[in-house]
Amino acid sequence: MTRIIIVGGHGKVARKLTPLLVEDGHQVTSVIRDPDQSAAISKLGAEPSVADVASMQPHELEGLLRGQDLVVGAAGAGGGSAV
Amino acid sequence: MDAAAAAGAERYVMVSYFGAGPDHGVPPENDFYAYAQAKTEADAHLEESALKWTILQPSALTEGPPADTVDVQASDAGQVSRGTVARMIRAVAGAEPAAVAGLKIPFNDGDTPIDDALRHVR
Repeated sequence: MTRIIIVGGHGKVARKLTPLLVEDGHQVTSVIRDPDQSAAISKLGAEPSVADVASMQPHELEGLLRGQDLVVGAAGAGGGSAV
Repeated sequence: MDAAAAAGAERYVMVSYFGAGPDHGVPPENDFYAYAQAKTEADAHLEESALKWTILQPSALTEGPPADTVDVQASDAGQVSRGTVARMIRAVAGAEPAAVAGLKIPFNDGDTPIDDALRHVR
């Protein structure tokens, strides 16, 4: 079991990724900006964490990431959308 | 990334894009320029960090069916299903950290099983 935190947890790739990681037995935290997305994240099996990383101070970010083994930077993933 | 290192998270998987790099070639007047620059700088910063990093660089994203196969040999960006990208991230997360640390992997949809692709990408 790995403790994984996904930054950009409500993105299209992240929402496909989350259940896969949960299925593999990892403990997943998803960072989202909009608290209204919390229920959707919980439904995928992850722990929602509401934060806007772009506006956070280094010590706040450090607090957010503490205790995690692996960070997935999924915000703004991919070179645009083909479809 | 600095915060990740300071917080004790040893591993970082960055989802970048196919083409990111100092020679991304996107002209400053293009709408995509700021994104290309930001991703390029983030990748470079991560590469210099003490973290065990893996940088995934999927090409243009589609809603095509997810696959357990990819093409990591292509020199040009094509397209790749978001579901396949998710499976690549999952494979990296589940891999032995040392086996995937320091890999930067541009990829498209393709025919190579993800596990083989990760082994042979170096």
